[in-house]
Amino acid sequence: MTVLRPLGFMFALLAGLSACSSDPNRPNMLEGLVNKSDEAEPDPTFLAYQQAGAPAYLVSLEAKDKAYTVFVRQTTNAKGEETWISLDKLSLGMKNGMIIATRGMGGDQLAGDPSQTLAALKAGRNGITERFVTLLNGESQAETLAFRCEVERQRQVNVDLGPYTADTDLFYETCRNGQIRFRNLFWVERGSRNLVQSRQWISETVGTLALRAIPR
Amino acid sequence: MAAQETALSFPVSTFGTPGLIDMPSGEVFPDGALQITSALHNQSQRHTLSFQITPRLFGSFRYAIMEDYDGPGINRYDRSFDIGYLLMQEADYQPSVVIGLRDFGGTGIYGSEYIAATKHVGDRWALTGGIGWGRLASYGGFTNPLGIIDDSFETRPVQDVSINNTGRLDVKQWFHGDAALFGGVAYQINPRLTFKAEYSSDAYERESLKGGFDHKTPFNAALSYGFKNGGEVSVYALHGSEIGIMGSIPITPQKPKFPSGIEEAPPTLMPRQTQAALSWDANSVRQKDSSLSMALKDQGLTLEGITIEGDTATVRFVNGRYPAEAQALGRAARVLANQLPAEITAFRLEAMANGVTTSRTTLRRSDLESLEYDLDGSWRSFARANFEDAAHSEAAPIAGIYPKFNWRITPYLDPSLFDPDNPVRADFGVQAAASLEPARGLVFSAAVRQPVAGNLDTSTRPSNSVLPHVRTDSAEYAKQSDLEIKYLTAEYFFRPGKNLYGRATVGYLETMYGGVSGEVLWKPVNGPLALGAELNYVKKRDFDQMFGFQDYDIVTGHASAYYDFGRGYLGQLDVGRYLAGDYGATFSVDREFDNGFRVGAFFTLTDVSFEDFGEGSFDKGIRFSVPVDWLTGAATQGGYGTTIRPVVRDGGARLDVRNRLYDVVRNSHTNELEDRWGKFWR
Repeated sequence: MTVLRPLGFMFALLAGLSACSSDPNRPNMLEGLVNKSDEAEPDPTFLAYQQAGAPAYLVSLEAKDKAYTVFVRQTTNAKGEETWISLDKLSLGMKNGMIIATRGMGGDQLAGDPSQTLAALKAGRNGITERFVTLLNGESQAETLAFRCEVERQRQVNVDLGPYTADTDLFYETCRNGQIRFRNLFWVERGSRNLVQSRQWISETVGTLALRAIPR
Repeated sequence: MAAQETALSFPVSTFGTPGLIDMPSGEVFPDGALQITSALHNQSQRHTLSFQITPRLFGSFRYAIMEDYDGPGINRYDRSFDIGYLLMQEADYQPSVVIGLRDFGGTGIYGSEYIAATKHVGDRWALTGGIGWGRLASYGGFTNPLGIIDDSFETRPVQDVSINNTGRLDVKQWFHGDAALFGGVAYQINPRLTFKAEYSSDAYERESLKGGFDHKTPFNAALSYGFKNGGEVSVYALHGSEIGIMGSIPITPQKPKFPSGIEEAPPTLMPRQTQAALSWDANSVRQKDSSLSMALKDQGLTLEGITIEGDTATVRFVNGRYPAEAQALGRAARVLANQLPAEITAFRLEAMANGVTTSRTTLRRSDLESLEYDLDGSWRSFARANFEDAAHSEAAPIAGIYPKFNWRITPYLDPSLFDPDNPVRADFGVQAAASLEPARGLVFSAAVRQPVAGNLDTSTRPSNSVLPHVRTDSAEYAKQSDLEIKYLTAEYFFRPGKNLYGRATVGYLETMYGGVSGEVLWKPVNGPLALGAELNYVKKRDFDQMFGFQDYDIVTGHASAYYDFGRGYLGQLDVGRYLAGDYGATFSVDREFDNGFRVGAFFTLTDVSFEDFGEGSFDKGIRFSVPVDWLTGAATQGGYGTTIRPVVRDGGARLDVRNRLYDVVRNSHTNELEDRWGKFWR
């Protein structure tokens, strides 16, 4: 499995970090490069939740070829916000299938409010929505962006989830503000109105994540 | 769908400043931008680092090599500074206008002043016109119009170009003598290609006389190709006789490659649990291997003390991983919330640096729970936190934390840039460093270096300083040493009282000096001002950098004031006695971006006369440091930095003792926490 987490090894090497040390916070970058392995050390917490049968997503990063990983749901808080964790120690904040945060992807979304779009998708109707995204910028500051989005049903699509094929409506959500434009795709299962598959924009640095529910 | 691409290319001249080819324009760089430019043509190299200090003010440092300038086979290595100020921003019916000084404090080879205006017409054309003085009036000059104000403007005083006179501001020359007009156009052929043409008011007089430069026409032209990252390569034709090539790279400190870092996700905030469910008790949490300790260790944090009283937990911890202390606080708080029973609702986090507590941050469990994925959670959590001094730790120590021992073997690079004979000197080698902390605040540390390769020892310039050779012997230290003791010290850090910090250091303090150093700093957690005092008695070390000392010893020390002006501008004033026994003051200004990227400049004036100081007249320089996490995205503390002085002399030289208190303690104080608070939830 290729990991999603960006690697900074080359930079680190150039910067002369090829050191050895008693300090685990200063990892031996040279070793990391020599034993060049795409396998991250599996997170035991992830494995425990996976074995316990927690809901799971297969997630891929559109900008990077063959970059995909599995996330499992670790917990849901009192506000219905879920935290999903991956084998390679990333996490996603989710609410009803919508990404509301990412952690560890290099250009993270600190928080997001897609509730208007979610409501439109759940109701199965087209409409204009407002979407808010708070990014962590290069100066370590939170920066909230507002987007105007158009939610529009495209067509009926069958999505092969492995054990069964879901009968879905495909929606486009096309968002823009002054500087940025992006388009999210949602495959909403008929009947349950669950988001079984989606493509969701995170940030300009990360680009778009593709998610597919793994049925249990 | 791709996000909109923005134009990243900035017009830059062969002097590395905003401009056409040789001529300046009425533009400036984007705020905070660093621009590195190299322009090469026959017998001439110009390497320039420019920095947009404020949205309107830019400064440049240039190192030029002119072959055969001082006679056949004798090259001139010239260092010069420029400064420019945006007088007027471009609007519909007005151009942007810049007033600038070129080479205002060096030997004056490029010495000139200008006012230039640039107006964009449509999407593709930029028209520039300007008036220049000095070298920029050496072709097509006419009587200075400023003569209307005062006749004295019409003659430019003859400059004293002796090497000992360099470094002084030639204020009497500025905007004096003949003036001349210059101008040009830039045409954007397509998003990648730009064509430039200019009428130059520079006659290349001295190059024509000394180096055989042929000035055939006042017209220059260039074709530039811009890369996606903002870099640019140009080919230019100068005065009908020379073809040159130029490359420039912009660095945007505000935009590291990984804006949010690539370290793993923080611990997930879990639902509250009861004491029974956590199988928790107040005693076991005091053990060195408690699950709380282990969970913090997993996040790169070392638990040093904990006290639980009622609904409040007070912990003392060391952040050994995160450059942003706010991130360490955020992770520590989540670990506490997950590891401590539900009844404990307030967390008081004591941050530490070099064994002393530096601040105490109080956070409430309920705020963590409600703000984890809140759209404005970053600012709200900052607003709801409380920051105070922690002169005395209120967390009972955990047994077995001390002694601590750390070691590290690293490669090192010791550069000496832009000396008068060679632009790049450096040594490369291996450094072994170790530290032992037998008790909190007491640190024994040592570093030894073994140079492997380099040319620091090839400097052939013997010191001609009339002052005690407190710094000009540096080449001797490189020549006469092999395996060397970089430092070997005992340090004690302590808190004499509220808002007060103390440091005592004894041993081999730096490459050239050993002795005793003491410092006291007053710095409130929530304030922009800090005051400090330092007193040292030091002896000059032997050139072999082993255990011996030379005859020279001195009492040196400074009173310092530090002020954080906000928006990233830091000022520092140090007044006192320098290594050569001279009295004076150092003035420093740094621009520190919130992510820790730092660019600054300083100068020192002392009672040593400009003549006695020698080349450069007084000590000055620029400095910058780049955090490791800016470069790599990894959560690693530290950075790479260097100070560039046009020339190193003995006047205004300060002891280079490690761990001066201001930089040790400020990282966990409110201003710095606020700067990087976006990392709290990361």
